[in-house]
Amino acid sequence: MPDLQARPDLTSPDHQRYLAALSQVADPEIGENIVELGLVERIESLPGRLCVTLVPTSLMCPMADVLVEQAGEALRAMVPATTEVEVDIGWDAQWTPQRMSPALRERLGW
Amino acid sequence: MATAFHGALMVWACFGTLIALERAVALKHPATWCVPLLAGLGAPLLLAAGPAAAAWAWGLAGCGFVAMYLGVGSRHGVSPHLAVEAAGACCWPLGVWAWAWHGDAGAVSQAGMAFLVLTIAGERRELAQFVRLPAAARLGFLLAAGLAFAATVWRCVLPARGAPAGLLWWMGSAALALWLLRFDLVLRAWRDGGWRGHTARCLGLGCLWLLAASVLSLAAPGSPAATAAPHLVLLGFVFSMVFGHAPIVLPALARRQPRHTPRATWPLWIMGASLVVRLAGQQLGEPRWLQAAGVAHAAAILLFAVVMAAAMPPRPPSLRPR
Repeated sequence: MPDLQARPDLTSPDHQRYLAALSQVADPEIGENIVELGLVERIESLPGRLCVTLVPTSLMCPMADVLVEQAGEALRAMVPATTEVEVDIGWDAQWTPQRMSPALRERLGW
Repeated sequence: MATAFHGALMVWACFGTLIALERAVALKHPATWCVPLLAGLGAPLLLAAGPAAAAWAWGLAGCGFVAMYLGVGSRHGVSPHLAVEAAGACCWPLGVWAWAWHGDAGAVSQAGMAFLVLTIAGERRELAQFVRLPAAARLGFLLAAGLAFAATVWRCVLPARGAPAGLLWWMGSAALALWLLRFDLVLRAWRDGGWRGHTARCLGLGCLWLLAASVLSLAAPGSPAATAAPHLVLLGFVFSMVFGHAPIVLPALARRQPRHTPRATWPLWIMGASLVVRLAGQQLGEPRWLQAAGVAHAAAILLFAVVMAAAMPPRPPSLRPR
């Protein structure tokens, strides 16, 4: 899991369930899941609506659309059918290696 | 006509269209679709109206391609990998300009290779940001890419004094190939099964072809075999990258995930074997071998298209046209 101490908005039990679902989605090139990679920027749970924002690691690669679709599918499988799931890319946020989980950072030599 | 200009068609019409299409899908700005459209339009214009009309289309497309990078860089900041990809983008209009202005075949060939090699190397460097790279590796990548780019600008702007620039280009290419073989994250998976192992094997072999072309050009410049070096880059390096990336990029473009098949590696080996035949044919001066190699190159590409089409699952009923 990523270093959630630094991101208190993702530490609630509900958020943990959503993160567990999102961890089924792997980046196709690296083979690691998007939670470990630190691509989940924000999860907002509202009545009847679940909004997730992912951070892009590439600005010029069409792969982001695939991740958005797969993340949406993973979340829809765990929420009631009446809940609307929105997954977006937050183009203003910037990915850095510090966003990766401590375990993955160690594995990749950080 | 198409045979005489097959290099220009391959680089600007085929790869220019594909790469610009990939960028347009990612950027989602309506204006960006003009770039792949113009790049693709260059091919029928070349056949119908001649090289001048095609040069206009490809030149405008190349400028549009550079503008895409300027837009992204100004909005999100410049990173080392974006800078290298942007340098590759600049080689597109530079090569078209050299083609239209002085027609030096060596300069045009070098610009076409630089466009593709720097674009691919920049993409691989982007992925390498997940691993901790030594400071020397980070600097080394920029120096190698900078050398390749500077040599290409020199070759295109001063073709009459461009011979040393050709050697500098191959030095930069060799350094980039060695860098990718040592630091590319995905190459760690070459023993894996599935698409991940397939991609790693394609990328690894592609880098070896780039290294082979560079070493051949540096060790025996002007030799018959060295004249095959651009083929080793454009068919060996670039098509290996295409074969390796297709299973990853297709789901983004076609919205369907191809099923893994070991047959997807066959085109890689056919392309490799045909390049060896080409090298031998050049060295021995055997035109029949070159013809056979050309047929086998085409067969490898065609086979890959067939294998990927067969690997695509049926379209879900909800997506079928009614």
